[in-house]
Amino acid sequence: MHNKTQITQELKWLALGYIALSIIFYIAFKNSSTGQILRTTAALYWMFVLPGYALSLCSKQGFVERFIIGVSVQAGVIGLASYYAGLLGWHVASHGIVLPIFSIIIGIILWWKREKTVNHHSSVQ
Amino acid sequence: MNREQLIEIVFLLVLFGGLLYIGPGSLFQHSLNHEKPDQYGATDGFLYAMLSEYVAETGNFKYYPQYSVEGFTDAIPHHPPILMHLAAMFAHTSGLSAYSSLSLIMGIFVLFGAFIMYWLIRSWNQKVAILAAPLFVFLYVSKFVVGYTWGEALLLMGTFFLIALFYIMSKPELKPWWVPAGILIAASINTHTSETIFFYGFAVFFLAAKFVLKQMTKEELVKWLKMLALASLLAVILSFNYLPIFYNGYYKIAGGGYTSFKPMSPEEFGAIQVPPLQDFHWPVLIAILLGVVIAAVLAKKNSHVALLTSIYMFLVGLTNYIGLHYRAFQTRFLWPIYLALFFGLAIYFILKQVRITSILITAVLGIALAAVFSNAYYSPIQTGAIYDEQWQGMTWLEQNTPDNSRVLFLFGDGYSQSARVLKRQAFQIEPADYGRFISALPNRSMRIEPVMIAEMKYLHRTGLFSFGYYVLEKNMTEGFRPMDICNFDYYVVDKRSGYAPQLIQANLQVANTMIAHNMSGVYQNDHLAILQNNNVGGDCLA
Repeated sequence: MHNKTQITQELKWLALGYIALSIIFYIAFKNSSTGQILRTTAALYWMFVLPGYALSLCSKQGFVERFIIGVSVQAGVIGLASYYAGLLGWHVASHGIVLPIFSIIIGIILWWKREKTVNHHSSVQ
Repeated sequence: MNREQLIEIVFLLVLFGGLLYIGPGSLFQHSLNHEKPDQYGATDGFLYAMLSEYVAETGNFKYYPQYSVEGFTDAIPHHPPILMHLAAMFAHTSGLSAYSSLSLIMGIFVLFGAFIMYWLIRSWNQKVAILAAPLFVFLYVSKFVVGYTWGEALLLMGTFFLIALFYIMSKPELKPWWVPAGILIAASINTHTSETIFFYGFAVFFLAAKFVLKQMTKEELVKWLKMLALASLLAVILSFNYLPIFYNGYYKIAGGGYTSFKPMSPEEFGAIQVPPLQDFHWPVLIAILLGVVIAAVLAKKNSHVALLTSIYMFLVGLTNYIGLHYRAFQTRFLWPIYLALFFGLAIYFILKQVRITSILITAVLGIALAAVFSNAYYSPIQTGAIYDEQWQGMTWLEQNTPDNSRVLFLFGDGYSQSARVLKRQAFQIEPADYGRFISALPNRSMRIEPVMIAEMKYLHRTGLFSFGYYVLEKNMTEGFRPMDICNFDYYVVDKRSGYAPQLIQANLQVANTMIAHNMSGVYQNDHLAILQNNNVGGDCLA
């Protein structure tokens, strides 16, 4: 569990990570336009990194450990959710934009509930 | 942030940045988006590219596209669905084409899997991890790269989930462990199911090793079994749609091939697709084998997940000798990740003898080793199995012909691989059969191969949990079969060849005869011409 100060700090790391990833992409895919690179790295962040981070917030692990577990689980969650949503008739076109929102909301709710429980236990003690 | 952390971050940025450059970067000709699917060099890659395009266009993977299953509109995909959905979603979100998106997702997640393996090793010994990471360069060297260039996309994504599962086995303190584990098991079932089977094999290996070596109590063992049972239950629930398809498809149709336990050598299988250990080259191979011995000794004292993972996947890569066939061979493409620990361990062992323990020296050595491997063994990745003009011809067909058109490819470079990507019913004549094709012309009947997804006999649902097979029900012949040459709607005729120019003369001769008998040229560029049959099934040759 993580307090707001720590989360702010970690979000800064994620922002730095985005810049680093974009620079690495800029070199590795040097024949692409800057706009395409920024959109591609933003898509990676939006679909996998930010929701994965949110989903892992309620865990006690360190930042990198949560990052690994969160992104891996999110890749599975969004893939499975998209498959079933497609079977139910929801076109895949908007999945990449909308489904991560659900993961982020669920992650924040789980974190908030745990935070509340921890605060409650601390105040009781 | 302290000095050691800074050194490690710089090391990781340089190493993984370099891997992205020489791997996906090189394969993509350093461009994210592509005019044509030229990242693939073999039929599997073109197939997954076509399926990803299909999901991106139609929005789901409920059925195979009719043009890939001889016109059936309700044939169920036996291919696990997640990767095609990830690629399609990512295409819409990033603005890349679906085939570019597919290969980028594949490349990024392989590297992320390598990073997870690094972090897993690091949780045991940081310096061993740093010294192990240079072996990842071999992902893009020798035959190891075949898994990538031939488009083993499902395997590579499934491997990512498998590595994530190995990692989560090292985190039993997660609460609740079974939720992320169950999601990852479900993800691997729905991506490349053989990786799920390898995971369960690992779970048994891990628990048995820990218990036998007295590193786990009976209570802990029972707790693990409960957690695994709950995770499996969640995975089954999350895979409720695909598991019956897998059972009625792969298991019923092809399962016998994997449960016969007949040993198979790489030569028997077709060694071109099987990376041998020698592909690491001798100095590296010796270090790996030394690492295996050290790891086996160390595992007796502390069987860390990282050690057991590497030992287990090394053994899995050799299970072709007890009957696991291609599924065992496939894992070898990922040996540069799985065996990295052994290499790092051997170098660490040597450094320890000369008392070098500084993190800075270790990181510099790690980068130096990666640079040496790149310089000595790596050469830029070449694919490009499809020419620009061929792609233009295929695009013309997709835009200007009815969806249910049947297209016959006469001889042309690479069509045996790339015709898969055409979104029309494609048929082809193998170059080896071309002599017979010419001699068969007078009677119009010829052995022709439908380029279809027929391995599972066109599986389709007959009820919620019952399935049928069109190939069996309609008594169809799979693969090559005699067909009437005049019974196609369009003909693709190449006018140039880099491999067999002598066959081009035959192509032109046939095309001219066809034009004189009810066919008209409807498209052409410098490389090929497309003929339309104005009297399908009628006389087209004489």
